[in-house]
Amino acid sequence: MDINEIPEEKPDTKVPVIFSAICGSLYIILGLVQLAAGTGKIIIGPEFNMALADVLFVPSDIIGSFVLLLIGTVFIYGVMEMRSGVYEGISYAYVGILIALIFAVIYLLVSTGNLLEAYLLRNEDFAGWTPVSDLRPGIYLALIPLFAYIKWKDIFDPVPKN
Amino acid sequence: MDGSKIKIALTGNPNVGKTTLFNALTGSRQHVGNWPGVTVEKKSGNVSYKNYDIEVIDLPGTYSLTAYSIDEIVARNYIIEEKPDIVIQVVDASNLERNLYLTTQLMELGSEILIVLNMCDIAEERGDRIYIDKMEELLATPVIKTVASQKKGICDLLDKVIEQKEIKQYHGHEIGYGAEIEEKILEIEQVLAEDETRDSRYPLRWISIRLLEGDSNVREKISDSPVYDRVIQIIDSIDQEEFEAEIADKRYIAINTIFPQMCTRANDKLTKSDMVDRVLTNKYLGIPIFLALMWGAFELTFAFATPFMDMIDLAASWVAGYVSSSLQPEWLASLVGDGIIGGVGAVLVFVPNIFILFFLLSLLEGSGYLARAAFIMDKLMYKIGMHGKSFIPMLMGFGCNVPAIMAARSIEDEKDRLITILVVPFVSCGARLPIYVLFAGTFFGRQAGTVIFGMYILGIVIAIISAKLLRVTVVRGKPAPFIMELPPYRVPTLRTSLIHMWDNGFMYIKKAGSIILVGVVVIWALASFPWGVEYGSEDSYVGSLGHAVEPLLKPLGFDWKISVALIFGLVAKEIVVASMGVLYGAGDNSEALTERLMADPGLNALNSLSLMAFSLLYMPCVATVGVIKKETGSWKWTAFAIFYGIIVAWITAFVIYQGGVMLGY
Repeated sequence: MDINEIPEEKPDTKVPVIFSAICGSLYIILGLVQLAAGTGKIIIGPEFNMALADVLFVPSDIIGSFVLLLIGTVFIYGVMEMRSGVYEGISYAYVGILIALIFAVIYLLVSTGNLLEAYLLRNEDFAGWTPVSDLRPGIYLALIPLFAYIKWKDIFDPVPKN
Repeated sequence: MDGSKIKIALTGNPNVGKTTLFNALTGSRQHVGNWPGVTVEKKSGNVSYKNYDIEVIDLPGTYSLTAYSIDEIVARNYIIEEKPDIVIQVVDASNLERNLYLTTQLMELGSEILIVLNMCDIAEERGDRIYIDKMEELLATPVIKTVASQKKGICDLLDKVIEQKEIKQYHGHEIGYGAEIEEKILEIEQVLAEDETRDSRYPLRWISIRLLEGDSNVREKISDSPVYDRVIQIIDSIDQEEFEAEIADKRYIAINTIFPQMCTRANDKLTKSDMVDRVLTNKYLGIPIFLALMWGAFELTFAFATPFMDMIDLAASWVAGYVSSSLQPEWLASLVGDGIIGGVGAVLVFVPNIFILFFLLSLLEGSGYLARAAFIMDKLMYKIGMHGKSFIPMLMGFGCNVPAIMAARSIEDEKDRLITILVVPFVSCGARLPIYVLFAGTFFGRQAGTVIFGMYILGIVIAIISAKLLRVTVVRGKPAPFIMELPPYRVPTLRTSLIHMWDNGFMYIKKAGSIILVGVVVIWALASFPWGVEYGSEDSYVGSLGHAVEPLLKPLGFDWKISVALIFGLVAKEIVVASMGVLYGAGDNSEALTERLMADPGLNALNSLSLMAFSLLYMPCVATVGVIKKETGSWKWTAFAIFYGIIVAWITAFVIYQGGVMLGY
């Protein structure tokens, strides 16, 4: 290497660490609430009701709760790597954002299907359905990753490897 | 006019874009995927350009001409035996160094070579610089730049092909392997030259090098030669492993000498592709992410498709009502209404699910993610006695088992390949999807997507368990180590994904109009005769058939109607749903079919789960059986696949049903 060459500096990871910590915690907390709502329905029965779940639009969907927990774990994994000085830990923030957006799109498409059933086909099974019926953490939490993706695109540009 | 005909062969490493270039040249729509080993058989197409009729052959990808696997042998034999006018080596510009290894081998074959630098956009984006003039000079071979996916550089390539054909200029290339090896090469060449009956298509120097490298395929080819024993004597006098390593070494030395002169690479940077790989191939997160994405795909396949299914249903109900009320005599109205529309209609309703599933699979495949899925599963696969590469045919099986079994050709080891062929039929193909959608949708409501996902996972789990079982019993041995190149992530093109979706979806529609149509007419006839009995009743022929089989399937929770559907499903799995449509006399209205299934006291969530599992695992369809025979070349293994499948299906369905009964469901 030319001794006069200035080595490329790696960007600071403070912002991605804070973002990942907040995002990861929210996904994990709401994932746990969703898991509790889902298991409660199975163990206690359909009469089981969690006020917190209602307020936060959390459905009783166990598989969906694992998805939330998984997204949260990806973010937190990144926080741990970045805090231990591994710049490449930023990858987890990037992929966490992508997975969060992919699942938000999946949920929105499912909701679009329901919308067509309710308003276009007037299916009896969907009587009383409104778009709010399908609102869930997987959708509204994704607004944070979406904002981060648009705002901090440059953070994920190629940087020299360790 | 023979002079205006040119035959060109496309060769190159796997996943460098040969099929994309083939499609761009010929206007074909061959399937392309972002993983190595999509093409396992050669394909041909034609293009007319400037009064030339150019035949283009797309060969399977190969890293070298060492012929370790069937697809490599196909590529090598074609180049040597068919002698195309020009061999076009498609080279991944973003991975030039590795691709040049094949170039050195092609040059030894004495073929007229033209190098196509594909994927230049990726290399340039990364900051690599390739000096084409220098490359042409050093390799003494024309080099053309293309971006096949955007059809850039295609005319330049065709112009160069014609120019090469017209000037008929052949450049010979040789790599010096050092005094000791060269001496042996010469010795073998001299002995082989004495045999006047030898196949002159094979260059003597090339055969000699291959023999020194221990190529069993070439050894077999000269086994009838009168000089065979003398050649073997020479080979036996050397340390073959050492020679093989030395030959490879010399090739790499040659590459490393010329490479820095023709290319400067950008600094090694952490790209977005690296970032994604770091997470998706993480040893703890890789498998959960894979499962979550697959679940998302099936959730979407079921939930997003439902309104479109209902729309088809409504339109078809109207047609059915109109046709049935206006047709006379009564038997014709029954044939069209109960038989054809009831059966074929029941299958066609699921077209939206099929289209969505194939579109999503195409996105996963085109992005390069499915190759990662094979990578993250490798450790687990090896532990249970399966080759990591087997996971790719298994994933391809989600679409259709027939090409998936053929994709096993890329597996070098015969035992690994056989195990893969035998277990791929357990992977749930698109044809089984309507069965799940019908029964999961009827008995599991909003959880249907999850149940369908569960069926796909069950298929993979049974395939993996079966592989382990086969490895410790009938196909003993250890799997070969797995080395697979991970392709770069790419944003899948909408066009490719839509073509893939359409091709597979249309195949499903065509099946509905052919084999399924025949099937439903047969079932209708059996359900209507002897003449005078109540349609589809226990007194009809179909009733007798169902009752004959029922005792075998009763422990699984199936009545005679399901038994009949499963018998006809042996031909094609879609017929299971078509049979239900005919036997439940639901016309083509899937909602009516759903209502009748729910109203049937013999059906419930538990036996529908057992039925879905049985349909998933029992005997592969006729087309799959045919390809198993073709690929194994053995009736014994084909029969084994059939009976093993039936036994596994019976046991699994028995455990589900009887277990559920014991638990009080």
